Amino acid sequence: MNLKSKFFGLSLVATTLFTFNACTGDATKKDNIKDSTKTEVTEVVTSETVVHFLIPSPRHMFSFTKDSKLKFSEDVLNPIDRADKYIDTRSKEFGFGVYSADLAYTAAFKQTKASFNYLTVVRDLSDKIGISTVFDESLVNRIDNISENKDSLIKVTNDTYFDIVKHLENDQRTSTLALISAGGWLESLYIVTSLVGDYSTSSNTVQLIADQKLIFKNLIDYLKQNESDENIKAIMTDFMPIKQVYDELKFENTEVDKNSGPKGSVVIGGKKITMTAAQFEKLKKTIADVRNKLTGNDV
Amino acid sequence: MKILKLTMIVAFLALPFWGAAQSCSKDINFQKQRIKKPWSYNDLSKAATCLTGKTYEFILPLTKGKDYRIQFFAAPVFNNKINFKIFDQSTGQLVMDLPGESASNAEGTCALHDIVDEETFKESHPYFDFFPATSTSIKIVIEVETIPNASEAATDGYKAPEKRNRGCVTIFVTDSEAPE
Repeated sequence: MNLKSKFFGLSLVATTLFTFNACTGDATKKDNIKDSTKTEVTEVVTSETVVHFLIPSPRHMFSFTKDSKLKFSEDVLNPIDRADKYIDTRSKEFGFGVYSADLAYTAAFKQTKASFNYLTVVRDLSDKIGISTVFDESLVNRIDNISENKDSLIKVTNDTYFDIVKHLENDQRTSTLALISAGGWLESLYIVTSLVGDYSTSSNTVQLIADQKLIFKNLIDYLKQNESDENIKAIMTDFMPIKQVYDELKFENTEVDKNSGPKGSVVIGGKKITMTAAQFEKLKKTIADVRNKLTGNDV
Repeated sequence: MKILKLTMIVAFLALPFWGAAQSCSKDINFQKQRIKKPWSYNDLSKAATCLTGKTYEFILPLTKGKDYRIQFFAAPVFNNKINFKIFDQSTGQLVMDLPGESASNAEGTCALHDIVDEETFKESHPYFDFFPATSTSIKIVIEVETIPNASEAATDGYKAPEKRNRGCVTIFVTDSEAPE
């Protein structure tokens, strides 16, 4: 067998494997689910428990506020031209999270022009942090078609965020993902606290802001898992003032009717997070201070 | 003929690596296509590669104002040897304790996978609905049991590295607006 033939044989194998991988149509999807990643490995395991702290994406916050009196305001967005000033890895990755939240906010309020602008910033930053492959031809086509109403703005932005998260998880870039999550969470909370208006004990949005204590705890625990990274350690230090305010919020036992949920649901919870007017104002100010410092809006 | 032989050898050698390289997130992608109204995808969903003999904890903050539906998918490579527990973090209560066995408990079947819908007589996947009366976090604990006799002592006194199976476990979360 000459070299050419050998090369042809290997190419055939490679092509066969690639095609097999790429062509998973609907008919085979169910089997793929059942047989996914079944591999035997031999390894020395150092820890028997692995903990995953899950952080909602920025759109989570806006999905709760769409029925409230919150209005769209471009004033609360991080200016687009600020992105050029993000030079180091930390500010680029954190900034990516910030702009992703801005994009989710503009999309939630169906601000097509603003969404396009923020989508462009997110795409440019993705190139700078090495995840531009997420914006493949298919996604770019979907983005282009938004203006022709062929695809929903919210769906495309949600799918983009999902693809980015999965891409980073697959590449095991946990520190990058942690920084993006931190930026996204802070910016979405900044937007909501900037627009919520006055404190009221009956406001669902005020309660939503208080309830962020739980998500913030998950975020801090997630950052802690990656604190060997200097950038993560620095962000944790920057987040300390927010932690101090959330630590002040108390849990209050509430009576829970176990039959209050829809049929078949398990009713959970029973401790409401309480926030006074003073704590609310302090939190708003702290969130703004930290956000403006980290995004460079304090100068 | 030689090319065919070479092709088969290379394919045989490459297949395990191809399998290992598969991303668990495709499980989520697949389930996303099957969501029916009023439910919508919640990005607390997580697909993770799990190893036998290890325990996995997933902390999910659930916010008041939505109903949550959670489904589990586990690779059949675990042979039903998975246990699921769900704790409400605000009360510390164990709210669900699910044995991994499928009804048949057969080798190669999947934990929590072979439930048959009584109305349609089609295989369907069970789900668990949660209604947070106040915002809370739940802790999902997934114990993947060790394979019996996987760890064998070598004759020279050294313990051989444990042999472990690896597969995807997916927590798939959807939500819907809760009635006021």
